[in-house]
Amino acid sequence: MVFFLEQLLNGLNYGLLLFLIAAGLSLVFGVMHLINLAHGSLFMVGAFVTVAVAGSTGSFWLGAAAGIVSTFLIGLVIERLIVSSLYARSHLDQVLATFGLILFFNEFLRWLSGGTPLFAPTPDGFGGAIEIVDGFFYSRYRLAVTIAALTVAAGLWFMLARTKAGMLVRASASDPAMVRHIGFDVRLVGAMVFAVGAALAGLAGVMSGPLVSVEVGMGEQVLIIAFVIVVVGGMGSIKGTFWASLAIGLVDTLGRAYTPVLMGGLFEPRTVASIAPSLSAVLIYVLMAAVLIARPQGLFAR
Amino acid sequence: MTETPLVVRELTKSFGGLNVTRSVGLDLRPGEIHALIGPNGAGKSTLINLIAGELRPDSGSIRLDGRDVTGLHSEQRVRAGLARSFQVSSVLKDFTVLENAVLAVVGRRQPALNWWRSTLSDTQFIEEAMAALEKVGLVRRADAKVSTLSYGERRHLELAMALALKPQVLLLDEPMAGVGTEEGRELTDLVSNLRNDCALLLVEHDMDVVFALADRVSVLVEGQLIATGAPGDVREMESVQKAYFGTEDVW
Amino acid sequence: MTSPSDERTMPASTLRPGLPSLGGDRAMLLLLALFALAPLVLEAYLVGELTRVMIYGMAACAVGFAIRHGGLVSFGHAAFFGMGAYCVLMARNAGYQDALLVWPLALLAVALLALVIGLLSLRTGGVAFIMITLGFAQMVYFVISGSQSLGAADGLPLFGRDMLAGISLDATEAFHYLVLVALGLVLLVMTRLSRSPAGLALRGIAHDERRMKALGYAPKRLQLTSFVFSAVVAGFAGVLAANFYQFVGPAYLHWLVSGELLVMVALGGIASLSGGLFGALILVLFEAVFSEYTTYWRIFLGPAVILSVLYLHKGVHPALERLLGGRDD
Repeated sequence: MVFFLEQLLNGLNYGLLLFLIAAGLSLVFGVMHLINLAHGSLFMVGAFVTVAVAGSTGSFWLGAAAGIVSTFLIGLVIERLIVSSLYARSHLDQVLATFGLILFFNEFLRWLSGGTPLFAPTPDGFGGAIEIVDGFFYSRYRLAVTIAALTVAAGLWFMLARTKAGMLVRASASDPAMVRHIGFDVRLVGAMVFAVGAALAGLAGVMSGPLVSVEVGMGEQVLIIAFVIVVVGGMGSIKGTFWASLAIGLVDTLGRAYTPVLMGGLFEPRTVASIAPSLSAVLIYVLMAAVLIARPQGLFAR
Repeated sequence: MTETPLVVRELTKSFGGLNVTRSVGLDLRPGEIHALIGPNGAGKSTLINLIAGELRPDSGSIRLDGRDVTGLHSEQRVRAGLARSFQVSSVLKDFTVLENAVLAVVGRRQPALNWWRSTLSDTQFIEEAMAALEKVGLVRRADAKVSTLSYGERRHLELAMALALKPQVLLLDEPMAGVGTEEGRELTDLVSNLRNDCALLLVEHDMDVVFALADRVSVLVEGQLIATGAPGDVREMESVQKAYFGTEDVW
Repeated sequence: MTSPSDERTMPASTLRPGLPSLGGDRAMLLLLALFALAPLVLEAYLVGELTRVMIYGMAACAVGFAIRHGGLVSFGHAAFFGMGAYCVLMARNAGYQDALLVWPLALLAVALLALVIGLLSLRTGGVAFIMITLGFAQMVYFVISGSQSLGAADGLPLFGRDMLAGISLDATEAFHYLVLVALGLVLLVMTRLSRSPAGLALRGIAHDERRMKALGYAPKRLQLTSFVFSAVVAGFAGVLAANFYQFVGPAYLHWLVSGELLVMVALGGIASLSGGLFGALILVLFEAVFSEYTTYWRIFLGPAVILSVLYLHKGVHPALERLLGGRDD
C-alpha cells in the first residue's frame, strides 16, 4: 500500500513535469502551427545551467534562477533568429531546422561538459523524507517539485483563461487575422509564447536536476514522450495536454513498478528480468497506439 | 424516365450554436444550370461543402441520380458522379497541365490503380485527358507547368479536370472569381456549353453571370433557402429584394 | 480558342517514356559511374566509405520517396533500417548465412512491421503523423534493445558477411559492387513506380490531398503502399548495413538515425528520387572534412542543416543537374 502510494505520487510528479514540457510544445503548435523538435533541448539546457551555476556558486536557487532566465532568453533568440522564418514553411522544413538545433545543442553541451553525466545535489532544506501520513515517508524534494509544478500549471491555466494576455493567446490560436485587425502583432504573441514555453521546459529541467542524471540526450527522451502526450491529448488543447501528461506519467511509473510484480506471477524470474524493463518502457507507446485506434484526433480534440 | 441528377432534402448543419444550414432543399434538373445566390455569409460555401461531402450534415439527405450519397465520403461521391471546382483555384501547381488532366482521368479508375506501367504508355488516358483539355481550349498548353498559367487559364484547367471526371452533377464555386472581362466571357461560354454534359450548380456573386447562364436561381439567406425559380421571377420577389437591400450586391 | 485542326500530338512532357528511365537524371548516373570506378582507383578504406554512402543513400532515398509520394514525413525509419539489420542477426543466430534465404525473409518482416505501423500512423496526418512514427520507432528501439538474445544495449558482432549463392561477400570490392547493383535496382524500381498512375496520384496527394480527394482518390490506401515500400527499401539498406559493419546494435534503431536520413534528403533535394543519395554523400564528406578539426564536428552540422533549410530550398541535386545540362524540375 505504501509502495503504491509512493509510486502514485511519483507518477503524478513525473506527469506534472512532463506537462510543463508538453505545454510549451502544445501552445506553440496551437498558436503558430509550428512543430519544434528542439524543445527538449531547452529542458536539457535548463538542467545543465542549474547544475553549472549551482555548482560554482553553491546556491541551488541561484542556479534555478539562472536556468529559467537563460532558457527564456535562449528561447527568445531562437525564435527571432530561426523559428520566425519557419512559420510560413512546411512542417518538414520545421522538423529539419529544429533537428539541426538539437544537433547543435547536444554537441555544444557535450563539448562544454566533456560528455560525462552531471549530478545536481538536492537543495538545502529539501533533502530527506517527510512523513505524509502515519508510516508513509516520501521524498521532501519530490513533494516540493509536485507542489511547485502544480502551482505553475494552475498559474498557466489562470493566465490563459482569465487574463487579457491569455485571451490574446487563445484568440491568436483560433483567429490570427482578427487579432491583427484589433491591432496586436501576432508575431509578438508567437515570440512570447515560444519564449514562455521554453522557460517552462527550462523550469522542468531545473527541477529535474536533482532527480535524474544530467546528460546530453536527456532532452530527446522527454521530447518524444511530450510528442506522444500532445498527440494523445489532442494537438493544441492545453486541457488535453494536462490530462494526457498525468495519464502518461502514471501509466509509465506505475507500469514500470508493477510489471515485474504482475509478470512474476506468471513467468519465471529470468524471463521477468529480461522482458519486464522493455515491456514497461513500451507501455506508453501501447497507450498511444490504443488512442490512435479509438480516437485518432486525440482524446480532447476540439 | 431519367432520374433527377441531384436531390437535396432538409439539409441541416450547425457549428456549435450557430445554425449555418437550415433545412435546405433543392433539386437539379437534367442539363440545367442552377445558380445559388445570396448575401455574404449566407452559407453558400458551406452548402457546397455539404453536398460535395467535405462536411457531414447533422440531418437531411442528398441523392445523386437516385442514389443516397449522404453517408459517403467526398471521394466516394466523386466516383458516384459528383464533381466540384474550388473557389480558390487549386489545380496542382508543380505539375503540367496535361498531368493535371491525366490525374483527373485516372481518378475514375480508382481503386484499381496500376503501379508498374508508365502512365504515358496508356494512350487512352492521354486521349481522354487531351479531349478534356480541348473542350476548354488548353491543348496547346498541355506541356506547360501550371505555375506559368494565367489565372484565367487555371480556371479553365479546373473546369477541364472537373469535366474529365465525367460527372452527372458539377458544383462550381464562384468560377468567375478573379477573372478578367475577356477571359470571363470565354469562361461563361464554356460553362454554358457544359449543359450538354451534366447538370450544374453554380455559386456566383456576379449577377451578370447569373442572368447570362442560369436556367433557375435559388436564393440562400442566413442558411435558409427563401426562393427558387427563373432568374426574372426571383428578382421580382419581395423577400429576395429585402434580403439584398443594403448589401453591396447590386441587381 | 484553339481550332479543331490543332493536332493532338503526343506532348513532349515529363510523362515521356523512353530509354532506361533513369536516363533523365544525369547527376545520378554520373555518381553511380563514379561509384563503379572507385574500387579501381581508390584504396580499400575509401571504397568502404563510398559503400557506406550508398547504403545510407539508399535508406535516405527511401525516406524521400515516401515524402514525395504521399506527403509522408516519417521520423521513424530507423525502425525499419534497424529491423532489417536485426533480421540478419537473428538469422545468423539461428545458423543461417545464405543471403538468398535471409534477405527476402528480412524484407518480409520489415514489410509486416511497416504494415502495422503504417495502418496505425495513417489514422493521423500532418504533424501528428511525424510524431507518431517517431513514437513507434522508439517502441521498436526499446523492445529490441532490451532483448538479451539480440545483444541488448551492446549489440552483437556478425562473423563474416552473408553468402550470395555460395559466393563470399567478405571482400571490400565484391561487397561494394553488390551494393551498387542493389542501389541501381532500387532506383530503377522507384523511378518506375513514380511514373505509374499510382505514383502520379501519390505525387498529387503529396501536393494537395484535398484536391486529390475532389478528383475521387482515396489517399490512405495509396499512402499505405508507399509507406510500406519505402520501409522495405530502408530495411534492405539495413540488411546491407549489417553486412557492411558485420555488427548489429541498437544504434541502428536510434531516432538520431531517422533524423539524419531526413537531413540527407533535405541536403540532397526533395524533388528528385536520387536526392537522398547526394545528401548521404554530402553528410559523409562533411564528417570527413570537419572531423579533421575536432571530434565535436557535429557542432557545425547543426547550423549547416539550419542554414540549408532556410536558404537552400531545393537541396544540391537540382543545381548539379543544371550544371550537367539536364532538367532541374
